[in-house]
Amino acid sequence: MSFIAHWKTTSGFNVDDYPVTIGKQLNQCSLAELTAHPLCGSNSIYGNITYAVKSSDLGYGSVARDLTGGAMFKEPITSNKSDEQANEPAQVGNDALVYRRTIFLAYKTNVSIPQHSIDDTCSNDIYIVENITAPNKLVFNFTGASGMGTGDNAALTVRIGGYQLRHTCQKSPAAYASAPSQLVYTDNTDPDNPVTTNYNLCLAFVYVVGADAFVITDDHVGNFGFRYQNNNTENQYNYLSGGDNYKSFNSANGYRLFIGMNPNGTGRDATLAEIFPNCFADPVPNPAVFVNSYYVTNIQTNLVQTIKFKFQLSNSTISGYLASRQLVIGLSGDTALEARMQQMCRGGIHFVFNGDVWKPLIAGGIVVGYGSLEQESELDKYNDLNHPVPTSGGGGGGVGGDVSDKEVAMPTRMLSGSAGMVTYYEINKSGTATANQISEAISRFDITLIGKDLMRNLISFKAFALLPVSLFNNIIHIAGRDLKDANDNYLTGDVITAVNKINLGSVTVPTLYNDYRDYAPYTKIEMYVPLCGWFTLPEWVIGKSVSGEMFVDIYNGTVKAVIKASSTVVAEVGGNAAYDIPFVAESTGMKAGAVISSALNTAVSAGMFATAPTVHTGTAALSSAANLASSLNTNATTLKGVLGDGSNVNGLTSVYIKVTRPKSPNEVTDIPDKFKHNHGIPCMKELTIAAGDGFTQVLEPDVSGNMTAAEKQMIIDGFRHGLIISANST
Amino acid sequence: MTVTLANTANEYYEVNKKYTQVAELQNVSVVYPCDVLRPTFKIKGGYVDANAVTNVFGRNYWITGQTLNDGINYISCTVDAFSSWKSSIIGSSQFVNRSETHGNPYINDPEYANTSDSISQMYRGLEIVGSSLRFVIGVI
Repeated sequence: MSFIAHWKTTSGFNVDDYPVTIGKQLNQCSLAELTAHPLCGSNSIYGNITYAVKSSDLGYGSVARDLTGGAMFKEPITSNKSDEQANEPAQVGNDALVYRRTIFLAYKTNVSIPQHSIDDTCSNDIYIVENITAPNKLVFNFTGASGMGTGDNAALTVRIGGYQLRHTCQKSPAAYASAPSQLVYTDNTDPDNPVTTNYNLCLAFVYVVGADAFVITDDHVGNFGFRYQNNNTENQYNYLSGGDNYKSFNSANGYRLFIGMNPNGTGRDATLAEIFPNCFADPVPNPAVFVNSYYVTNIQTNLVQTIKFKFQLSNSTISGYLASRQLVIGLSGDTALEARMQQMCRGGIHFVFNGDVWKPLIAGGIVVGYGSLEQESELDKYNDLNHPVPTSGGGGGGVGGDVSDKEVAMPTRMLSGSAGMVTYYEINKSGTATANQISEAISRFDITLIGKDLMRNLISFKAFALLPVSLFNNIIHIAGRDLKDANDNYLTGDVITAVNKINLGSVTVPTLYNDYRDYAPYTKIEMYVPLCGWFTLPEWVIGKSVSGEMFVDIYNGTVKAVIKASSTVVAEVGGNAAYDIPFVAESTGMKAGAVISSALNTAVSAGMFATAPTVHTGTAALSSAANLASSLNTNATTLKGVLGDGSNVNGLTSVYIKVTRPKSPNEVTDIPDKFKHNHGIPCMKELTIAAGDGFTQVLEPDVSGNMTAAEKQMIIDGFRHGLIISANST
Repeated sequence: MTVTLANTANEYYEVNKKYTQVAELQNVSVVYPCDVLRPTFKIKGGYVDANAVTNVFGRNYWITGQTLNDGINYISCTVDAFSSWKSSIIGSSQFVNRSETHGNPYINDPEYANTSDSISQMYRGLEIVGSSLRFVIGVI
């Protein structure tokens, strides 16, 4: 038998947000790479278990099956064969009625599923169980109907994490009865009531122990199942018999039941029978080794890609699963990686085997099939089920909130990484981050936290008021997402510019009078740059193009605007583009996201982020100076106790130039010609008087000629008064 | 002597005046003593509609008055130095303080009074502050 594990990147989330390590062993992949599904939170494991039981299979009485820590959804019952059923191998027996149930796994409270009867219309096919606290178990009972007889086969399909784990009994109950060792000991997994009664229902159930969920199964076909017996210790189940070398698990201590692909003395092995593109086996899969490692290469982002691992077991008695190690011992000495993985894996699905903790490798963190279970379906989006997704709520510290929170795109771009000890991240594009979004974003950072405590590692939280496009134009994505070298290989590492330049545009300040009145002291030119405030420009920029650039330091939020006119710097003003959003000291048990959310809410309520007022533009006179935001606007406050005038987030949002000129006495802009004729305008230069010069005033004329002294004086007086040099009289 | 009576519409301070001849009188005598700058001409006849006497003593004169007595018109004049010596004026090189045609409008002119009232105009450039915020978190 074989099983195929499908791991498909869906289009439901941006794969690019979750970097995939190329060329690494699966067991060397980081948690982010392994649990790349947004549903895989720290303590929230989602999955669907759909089990379809043929009516003819229900004749063996009720069976209590434990599904601990699962949540189930209701979905309409269908009496038609499901697709899974259609893919079943040929069945013998009455399969007229199929009951299909979908169980959506999560950490939810324990709820006993009502008994299900063949006669039941299965209106309660899907059960929602919430607020599970470990250890818990879900029990749902099947009440078999009479009529199931020898030769009938049972088909039980379990779908977990969107993957359908389907097991088909190949033998009839009678055959099982005659060969106890080959019976399906589904009840053997009942920790409370180990029963040796054989049933031909093969149930692969999800067992959530503690905060984890995993799937175990027993091999039903021609083999013995696993039996476990509660050793009277809570959640301590000891392997009783069956299989090989299976370990006990103790949920309280983080151990989980592990069932590996174990060889046994009978030559059981596990080989990678089929390797699909993009993966290849360790050169020599060694059946003697419990776990073989497989490489996955050429994982492409932004593509829907299916990676398949097909394990073909030479002996159907083998059960196993595809998993990855949570911690890789000696992974390049990268203790930081291990620490992160350990931190993030905690609470998620993982196995402990041989002292190592292994992480199941499937999307969503749910173990895929193994052993005799075959995963047939690809990952389904949770929203495809057309039912609400349970909140993760319980347990210790899940991200909480609706799944819709997780679905929100979190660009989570690392803005800088090499500026000393501090790394800056932009955590939201829309500027309306919720606690869940922030927490989610932060949890995805590939960062090493001091003390593994996010709150202790946060040193700044700033809100930038600058437009998204303009602020981070020069930021280059990191982690190999956007950069490639000449060989088309992704560049890794941080390539960030800490100082960004924003183009403030240019404004040509037009003249009005086209004379001295356009300049000082008559005209005043002021410029406003958001976040920097008002400042005066020199008068000579009138009629010239005034441009500017703003340099933004994302480290401290300071900005500096450099204003130029005709390529000459005319002003340099500074300001602050960022508000510090204070976050209080960590409260016990308080999530980082909640702290930050609280800080955000407080900041908003304090009026930090008010909207800009209406601004008069054009040539209309300003009716009120109040419409112009002042850099000293004290509406901006911080809660840290430091009241800065800095940014005026609630002021104008654009660059403005204000020109204040004197009002002309005669409502005209040009000096009247009559005035010029009678008074002239300042000339102040040496000229040769020529006919047609019009009014000409010379205060110190130089008069020569044969005129008498009195005539000379007359001419001088005339010049001082101002002579009108007419055009030639001819 | 011959005296030409004329009219001019040009202003007092105008140079290059244009004269319109009214009459050319001959056998005109001068009343002595005669100030060349303020001569009086004795003309037989009545009132003459003219405001200027041109080209006497090499000068042009404004007619300042006409006194009629027993058939004699006594025409008193004063010299128009601007038109008389226009050649000396036009063509001279001067440092011109104010000019109708050669003035610089960008030189401050205190003679052209402005009101104390003012007008303001706003010119808008690029918008650089958004209504939404972007959050940057720093982690050690």
